[in-house]
Amino acid sequence: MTPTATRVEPPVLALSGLTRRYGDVVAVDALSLTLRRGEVVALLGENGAGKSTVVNMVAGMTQPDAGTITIRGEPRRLTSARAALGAGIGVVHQHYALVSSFTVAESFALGEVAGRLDRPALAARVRGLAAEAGLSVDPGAMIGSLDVAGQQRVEILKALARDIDLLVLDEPAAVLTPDDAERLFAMVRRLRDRGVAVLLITHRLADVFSVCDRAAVMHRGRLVADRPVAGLTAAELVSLMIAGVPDAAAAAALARTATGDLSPDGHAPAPPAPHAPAGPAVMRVRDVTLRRANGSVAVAGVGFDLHAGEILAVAGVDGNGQTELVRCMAGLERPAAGRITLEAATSDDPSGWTPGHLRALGVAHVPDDRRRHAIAPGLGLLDNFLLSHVPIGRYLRRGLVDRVQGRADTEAAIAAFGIRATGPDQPVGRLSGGNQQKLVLARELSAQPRVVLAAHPSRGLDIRTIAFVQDRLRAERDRGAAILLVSADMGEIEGLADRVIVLAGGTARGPVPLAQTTRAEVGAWMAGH
Amino acid sequence: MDWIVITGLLASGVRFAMPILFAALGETVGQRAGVLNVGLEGIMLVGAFLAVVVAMQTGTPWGGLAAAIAGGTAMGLLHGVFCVRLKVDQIVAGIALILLGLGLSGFGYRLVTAGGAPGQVPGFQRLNLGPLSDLPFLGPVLFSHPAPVYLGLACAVALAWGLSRTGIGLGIRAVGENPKAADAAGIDVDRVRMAACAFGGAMAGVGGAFLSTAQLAGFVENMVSGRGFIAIACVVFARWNPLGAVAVALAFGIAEAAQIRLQTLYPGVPYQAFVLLPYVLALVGLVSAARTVHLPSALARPYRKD
Amino acid sequence: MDGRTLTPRRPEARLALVVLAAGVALLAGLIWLAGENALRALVALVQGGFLTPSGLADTVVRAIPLCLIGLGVACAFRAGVFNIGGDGQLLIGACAAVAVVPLLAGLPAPLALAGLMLAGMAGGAAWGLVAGVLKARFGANEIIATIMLNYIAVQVLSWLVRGPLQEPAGVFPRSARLPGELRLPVLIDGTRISAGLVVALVAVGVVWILLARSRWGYGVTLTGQNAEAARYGGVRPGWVAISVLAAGGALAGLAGTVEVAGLHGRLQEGFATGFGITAIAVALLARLNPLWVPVTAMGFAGLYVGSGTVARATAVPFPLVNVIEAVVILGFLALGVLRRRPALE
Repeated sequence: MTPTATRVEPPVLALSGLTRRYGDVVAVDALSLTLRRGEVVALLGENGAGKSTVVNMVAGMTQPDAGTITIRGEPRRLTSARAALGAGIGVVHQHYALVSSFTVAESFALGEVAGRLDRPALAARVRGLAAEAGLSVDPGAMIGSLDVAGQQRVEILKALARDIDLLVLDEPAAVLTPDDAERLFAMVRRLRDRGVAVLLITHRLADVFSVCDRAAVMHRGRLVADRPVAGLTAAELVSLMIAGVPDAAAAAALARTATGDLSPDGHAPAPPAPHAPAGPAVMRVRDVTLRRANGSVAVAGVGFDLHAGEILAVAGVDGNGQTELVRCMAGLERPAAGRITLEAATSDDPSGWTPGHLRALGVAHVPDDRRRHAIAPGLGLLDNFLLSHVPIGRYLRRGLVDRVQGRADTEAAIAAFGIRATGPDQPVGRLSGGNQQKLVLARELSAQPRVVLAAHPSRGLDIRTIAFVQDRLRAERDRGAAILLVSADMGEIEGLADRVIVLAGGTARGPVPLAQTTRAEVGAWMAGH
Repeated sequence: MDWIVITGLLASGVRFAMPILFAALGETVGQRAGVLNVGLEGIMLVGAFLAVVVAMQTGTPWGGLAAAIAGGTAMGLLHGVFCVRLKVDQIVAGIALILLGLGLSGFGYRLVTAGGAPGQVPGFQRLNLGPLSDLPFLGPVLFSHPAPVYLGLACAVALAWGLSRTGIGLGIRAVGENPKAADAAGIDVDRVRMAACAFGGAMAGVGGAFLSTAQLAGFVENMVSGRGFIAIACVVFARWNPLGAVAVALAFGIAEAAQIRLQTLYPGVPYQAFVLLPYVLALVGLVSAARTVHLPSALARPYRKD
Repeated sequence: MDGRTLTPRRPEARLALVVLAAGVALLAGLIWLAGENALRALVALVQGGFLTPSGLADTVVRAIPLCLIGLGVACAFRAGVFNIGGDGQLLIGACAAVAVVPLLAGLPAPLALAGLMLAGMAGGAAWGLVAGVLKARFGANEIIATIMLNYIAVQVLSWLVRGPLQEPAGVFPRSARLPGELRLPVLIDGTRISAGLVVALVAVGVVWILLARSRWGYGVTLTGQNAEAARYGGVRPGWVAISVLAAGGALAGLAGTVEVAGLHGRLQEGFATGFGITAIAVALLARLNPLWVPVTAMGFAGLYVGSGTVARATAVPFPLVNVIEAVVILGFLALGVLRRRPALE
């Protein structure tokens, strides 16, 4: 392609002033971005930065409140997934839109064929597409029997089958092994050479440098950078993602604010409490293998001890087994292999490894998907405060639930954590996500837990609240609780943790004391190096 | 037991199976599309009633059948309006359908019979397929049933083929398994589900019509007596497979036919022990088939975009 | 995950209004078909069910079992479990109560009566437990299971009143009369209202306390609100399913005992049917709040009694009552759609 041709040809996709609000939250704020033929652009950002909303608007699954989407020079309203496909945009979502009881070939026929399925012809077409894209796919295989990478290949092929100009890949590498990821990027390069534009949504720096031409970084709904990859450093990208500014020093300062070295009021920071060395191990994880919900192995052979009086951080890109690890430790699931034991448990009987049993022994749990797992949106704050207490027999007086005491403690929690609510009876579903999170934290930390399993406790909170939450976790640690902190935020890990273990690419590294490692080393492990 | 008894047992078993089979086939399509209709009982009652009334009016059971299809479709669409369009609890809406069918059929029946006893119902006659019907054993068991029996069996084959071998079948299954995927593929989830509701209602109506104009000849209040629920158990037992539904419905039909014969064969055993056979069979079916991977994942879940 | 969109629900609301209007039109049309004036029929219904002393008394008599079964249905619904087996549980409870009558001979009357009720509750609970275990252990759909158990219970009763529990004369399919000390006394002279009314109201209080204030009730409500969160909090979901079905069975069994000891005096075939599904409507319209259950039970009982009056006085056939019940449930659902807030959920 000649440079002149590029200049004459309108961009494949031009987003201009795109805005999308959800209630009070501006998920995407006046975003403008252009993709040309044969260009691979990374859209980067932390969780909640608004990347998924951009994808949904480009995919026709959500409509923007303001702004325009222009495709090959023509403004378009993408009101459905079908409309987006018709405009030449293929999207491979993070959660695949596949029917697990279908065969690969049937997945291709869905929505395209109405009458009789010509299976041999379908299979031949799938094989042809696969050969063209250089992917290996068996048309007769059941979707449900494929691993994540296999399902992803099907999704990509389905998109390519529609003769598209733009392929959007939403976090494609997060769930892949390094080998599969390399295969995926090889295919992306081939597509680029054929003139297809690719928008790669990711929060893995490694992806950016291995395959992308340009990097666009989002921070809190806004585009904070759109630059060629050549000339960018990983440190700059990290600061852009974390703080929205390219300056690493400024980012570090901001990160320090968030992690409590500087109190948000500007007062002199409390000197970091020299806390006592960690106590005895209270929970042991031995040779544990964790499977994702779809059956694929997330990580194998994890082993560590969790000690009283320490904060052990579990670092890693989302989807590398952190959720599964915490769920197993909380008794909600059993590991696929290996053992998890609690020192306080009197019996080794695995059938007793239930959430209720563990809670009674002092295991508190702040899950990452709090709306699904940790709250009952239709009930009030009081009933949600009692959620981890009443089922195991706390807050009972003469056999009945002591709602008077519960109400007093809920009100105290509302005050202590600064939860914005009209009162203890307001349905929790009406609270903002941050306030829901504060309630869950207040509840879980309210009964002097022996073990705290905290998955992304500060995700979705404002800086002031983050500092408060982190202070509370430190206080629990100093009280002698053993804390497992799942986080993808290096700033948080550095500010809080005593030791860190990294889950990436199916294996675990560490735990190592934080003092014996560097941000760069942990970052490299997280990226799977 | 001698040969003649077994022949008669199987022959009537086939006929007894039909009301359950029709309703179960419709419900199979509905559940494959993600809609659970527990109100089949009510729809069958309406179908049974309309079939009798209109058959008498028009003088032909086919007229009754058409009326039952129309009434069943209307009831199915009503269920669809509530659980597909308004997205309310499918089970509660289904329970309302039970009461509605019970009430409408009973109300209509009493209105119609208020003027005196009803006359002869022109029911479906058993076909005489000539030499085929005269075959020993096979003749009575396979070749001397009323015409709708063959329609029902053909329907089962057509559905089995249609669900697995056509694009429309794929669409129905996708809507019930992963509506989001169906939506992404450009399928209008709610429209497919409404159509499935209408089809399920029509088939339940046919089941009721068979009961009152082919298996029996006339309407009695609450005559469906649990067949609508057995049909749902049949769907589960057959693991949402139309051909499986034929086998399971036959098992129910034969159990019903057998219990009548067993009562006379073993007068020493309380007859109630035999009457409850089909119901026990339904329980066994539920237990044996529940928690299989065949359950449509989005069953009884309304679909909303985003 | 992203937040939720504020999708306009106007088309849904409009459709709900259309459906509501259609329901009313259907009822009026049916009454017109029967050659009556809808308004007059409505007046006659309300008068027959609520405004005459004898009608009101009949309504209370019918409301007693409806209330008891409705309480059990409300418990189950709160946990997201559908118990449509009230009829069967009632019958088995009544059978169990009558079966223990010989064992209670010679006991002081209050003790014997308590024993009778306990037996009835145990019988009903056992029947509910079957469905509960099938659900918790095997994942069997409780709706179909409880309905199948209804049909089986009818056959069990039919056998018992012709076999082991038949009256000594052995002529009719029914049990012997209960001895006087096992009868619930009539509460209001000149009516058939028995002390069963007190039993039902006590049950309302007990169920309310259990649901609103006990650890069990908290687990039940939490499971219905968010089963995942309940498990996370330490509730055992299988146990909740089993316990609500057993509790519903016990209440239905109690209803059966009250019907036998307070109204019929003996067990006979077909002595109490058609409560189960109406009890679902009772619980739904009470919004699963036990304190409202007696009120809605009175409403549906009055509807039943009033429909009887209408059917006797006019040409409007009695099964209209089922159509009205269906329209009430569907109308309740449609109103719920209108109230549905276009918000976060």
